[in-house]
Order: sequence, then C-alpha cells, then structure tokens
Amino acid sequence: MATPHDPLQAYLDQALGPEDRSGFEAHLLSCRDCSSLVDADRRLSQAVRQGAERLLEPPPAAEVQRLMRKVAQRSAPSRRVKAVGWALAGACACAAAAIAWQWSRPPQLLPIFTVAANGDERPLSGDGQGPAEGWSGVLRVGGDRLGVAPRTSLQLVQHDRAGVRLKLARGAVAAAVSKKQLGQVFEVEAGRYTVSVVGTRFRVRSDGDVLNVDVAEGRVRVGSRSGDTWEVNAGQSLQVEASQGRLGNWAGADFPELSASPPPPGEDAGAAPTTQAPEAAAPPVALSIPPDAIARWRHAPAAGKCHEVVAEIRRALRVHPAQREGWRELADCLRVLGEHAQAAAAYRDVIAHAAPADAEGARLFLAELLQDRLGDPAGAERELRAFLQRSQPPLLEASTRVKLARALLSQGKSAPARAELRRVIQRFPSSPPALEALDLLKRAP
Amino acid sequence: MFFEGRKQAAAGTGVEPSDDELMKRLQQGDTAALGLLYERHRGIVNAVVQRQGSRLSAADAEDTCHEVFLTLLDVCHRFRPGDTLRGWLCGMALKKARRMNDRRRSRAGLLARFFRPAEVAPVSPAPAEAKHDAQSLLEQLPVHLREVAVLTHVEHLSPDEVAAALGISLKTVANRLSQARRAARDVLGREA
Repeated sequence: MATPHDPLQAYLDQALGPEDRSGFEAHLLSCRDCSSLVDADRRLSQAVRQGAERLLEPPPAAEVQRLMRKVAQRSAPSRRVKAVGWALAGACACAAAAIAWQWSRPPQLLPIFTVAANGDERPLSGDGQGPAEGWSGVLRVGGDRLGVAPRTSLQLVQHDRAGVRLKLARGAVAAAVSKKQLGQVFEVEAGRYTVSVVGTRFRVRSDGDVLNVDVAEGRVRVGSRSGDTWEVNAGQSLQVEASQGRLGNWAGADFPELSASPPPPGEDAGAAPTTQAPEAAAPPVALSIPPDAIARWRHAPAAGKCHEVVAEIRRALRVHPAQREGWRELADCLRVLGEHAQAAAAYRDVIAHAAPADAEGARLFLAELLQDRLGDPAGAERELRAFLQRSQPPLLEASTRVKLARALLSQGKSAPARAELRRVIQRFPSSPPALEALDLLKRAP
Repeated sequence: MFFEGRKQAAAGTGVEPSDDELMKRLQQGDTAALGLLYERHRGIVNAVVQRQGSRLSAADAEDTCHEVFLTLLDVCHRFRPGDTLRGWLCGMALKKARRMNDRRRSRAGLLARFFRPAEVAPVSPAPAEAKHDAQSLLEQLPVHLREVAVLTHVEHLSPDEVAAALGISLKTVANRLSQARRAARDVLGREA
C-alpha cells in the first residue's frame, strides 16, 4: 500500500528502509500532524485487536458440531423444497397450457334475442354486434336482460362466455344481470366512464359529459379514466360530472326500460324520472378515509398537533366507523391529550377489531393507562397477560413482565409478582428490565 | 505463533490440506471440508463480526459465524483456485454483521414506540464509559471506514484481501484507511 507519495503509510507498513525510517522518525518529532496520525493508527489498531486473541481462538468442538448439524438440517429440507418446486413448476406449466388453449379458441358469441311484450323471444337479425342505431326495446343476451330506451346509441362490443361489454354513446340502457362466474364481466362503457357490475340490476344514462347510474339491486362500481372510482349500492344513484361524483338516493321500484311494453309517450331517455329528490342537495361523501389524512393523524402526537386533529378524526369515524386505523390514531391522540378514559375506550375498540399487530400495541398502551392513570391494576394485569400469550422479542417480553409485576404488586399479590420478577432476572440477566426487576424485588413486601 | 500456523495451513505448506483443496472438496459435496474450514477461519470471521456488529452476545456472534459458513456452502461453486478465501469470508462476515446491526436497530425502534426511552437498551455506551472503551472508538467511525480499519488491523489482511472482501479498488482501500486514521484522530481529540 506504500507509495512514494505516502511516506506515512510506508512507515506504518514498515516498508521504509533504515535510513528513510530514521529520517521519517526525525520528521515525526517536529510534525504534530504526522505524529498525531501515527498515534491515531496505533490506537485504532489497539481498538481492533483488543481482546482479539480471545476472538481468534479456534472454535470449541461443540460449536463445530452445531454448525454441522445445521448443514445436515439444511440439506434435508432442500431436497423437499426441490421436489415441491418441481411439482409447482409442473402445475404452473399445466395451468399455462390450459390458459393458452382456452385463449387460442375463437370466442363463441352468445346469441342476442329481442323480447316482445308478451314474452316471445326472437333472434336479433344483423351482424351480431347488437341492435341497429335508434332501436329500442328489450334484449336478452345469455342470462342478462337489457332494456334499451328510445333514441339510444348502443353497441355490443363483446358478448361471449367471458362476459358482456356494451358501449353506450347516447341514451339509456337498463340491465338485469344474472349471477356471474369468477372472471366473467358485465361492463357498460359510457364516454370516459366504465360501469362494472358487481351485483345485478342497474341503469346507466349518459348525456355526453354527465353520467347517471341508478342501482335497484346489488352493487356497481363506476371508474373513470383518470382513476377515480365510486361504488353505488342498491337504492343509490350516482351522478358524475367533470370527474365529480355525487351519491344520492334512488327510490324507484324498477326501471321502465326493462319492461317489454312500450315506454309511456313523452318519456325521454335523458330525462327518465329518477324519483330521488335530494340528489343535488346531498353532500359529497368519500368512500373511505383518505390515506394521507391517516398519515397526517399518525404524525400528530409527535408534532404536538393532537388537539387540532381529534375533532377531524371523530368526524371521519362517524362516517366510517369500520375503518380501524382511525380508531388507533384517535386513541393515540387522546392519550397524548390526557383524555385517559376516552383513550382507553378507543384502545379497547382497536383490540377488538384491528389486525393483531395493532391490537398488541394497543394492549400495551391500554395497560399503561389502566395501571398509571385510571387506577385499574386488575385490568392492566389482564391486558398484559393477554399480550404475553403471544411470543414476543426478549427485551419486550422482559419489560412487559416487569410491568405485570408492578400491576400485581398494586393489587397486593406479592407472591406472583416476585415470581415474575425472578423470571425476568433469570431469563434476561443482562437486560435493563432485569435491573429494574432487581430493584423492585428488593422493595417488594 | 497461532496466526502464522493458520496462514501456513491455509496456504497448504504443512500436512493439512490447503484452502483450495478444501474448497474443491466442498464443491464436490464433501460437507466435512466445511468443518475443517470453520476450524481454520472461524477466528477471523468471529473477530470481524464482533468488531463490526457492535456488542453482540456470544450466541448472536456464533449464529452470525454459522450463517457466513452456510452461505459459503451455497456459493462455493463460484470459488476459483487462487482466490483469497479469507477475503471472501471477511466480506460475507461484514455483510452479515451489517444486517445484524440493521435488525437490532429496527427492533430498538419498535421498542422505543412502546416504551419510554429509559427502558430501551442503549444502543451505544454512555459517554463516561465510552472514553475508556476501545470498541466505542470503532463505533464512532463511519461504517465504510470502520470496515477497512477492522479488516486491515484484525489479522493484518493484505490490501489485496481487503479490496477483495469489500469489492473495492486498492486505491480506495488506501484512501479509506487514511480517512479512518484521520477520523480516529478527531474522535480521540474530542475525548481528550
């Protein structure tokens, strides 16, 4: 590593000749910079090699045996893993072949029938792409019934076993959709929006930029090209204009377009009566709490902004009580604000409904509140015992057991508390909780 | 000296098989060769792991050493005669120790969320005891400088071996060693 430009490195590598070495040592007496670097190198070497002889000792035979046992354990399952891998690869190949065969088959179009007022059905003549421009009446495609309103421009883009897709340029179409198999679709594309059937009976009206969706049964999902989605449940109606969706009530019994009898004179597809009145007045309702709001709430305790967000979280939870992330953030904020009883109630809700990881964290906070703030050591004991039923990292377990011992001591249960403390000292002797346990044990009655 | 004896054994100058021979046996599926390699090189791997992964327990250190040699079992087919096995092993040991440190840090973060800071195990020593603790000098160096310093000083690995272990050039090894020295001088100056 020594280079002519780095005599210090050459000196440290003992690569200098006797004369150069003497010269450099004379230089060291007068140069504080170089002498301090030589000293730093010596200290660095000492730091690395301190106790290195112990570290560099040959391993005990038992340690080598443990390694060889691990080698043996690894090689045995690896054969099993290989066998499972080959089996999976074979299954994947079969599945891929089946899918390719299925895709290679030409799609068999479902026949389209017109339905008369008396129930008679006749095959629709034409090119198989649906009714002619301006046609109105009732169609049956497979198990689905389509009611086409007057002055409607409708094209059947797809009608095969994979599903039915319609393109609605203008007018209105109502649908009674049969139950779909997994992978089958029923979609109506209207301008920039696509209405996918999740449930059964609905109507789509399009007037260029404005889309109206009324749902009588089941549920439909409406998606726009800009990525917005809305879900419309039975009895609801959605109006979308300029990417702004407004959900309202729809109280109609059924869609007149689906009855084969001719529509009443003067009824227009664009002005089909939807008996709901409050549609325009209904405030916009978000379908779930936005993730950015939850992230903002999560940082509120650290940022000291809990008092600003608590009201907002409560408002959101009134609309979306099932969204458990909100309860957790509410509980954290209430705890920071000193609303201990309310925070405990919120944590109980999280424990009852949230995912296990969140529930475990909530248990610890709840136990702390019960023990230190609400004077309920029995409740704290219950939560801590529930927490310890699952396997935890050693330090977390040790610290939790010390808390449990404190809860037990508060209830006058000296014997089990001492047992917990002894367990912590024996199992985690060098951990900080063990020191705390030792201190508690000395003071315990 | 013990180290010298092991170096000779690694080169195959004594009656013991050389590293190249043992690696060849390992490549042919003879896992007993791994035991011999472990006996020969576990010391330096252990030293690197202990110096790089700060304050590991004996069990953690042993597990990490085992992981290094089990990884060697997986990648032994990449070894070519003439490669420096010590460099290979030290490189793997550094990576494992780094990962172990990351795991410990993330666990400390989890604990800090649930407990008051005083209840969480201190990751670095208290300043008072740090002054007299040689390990703390290493811990105060940036990781990339500490790696070079550890490999260079722990068993006097050659610059070629250090470069092979870290996957960097000889010039970078020299630069980092020089930087490590200056950083150590700054740390010692602050503590004085």
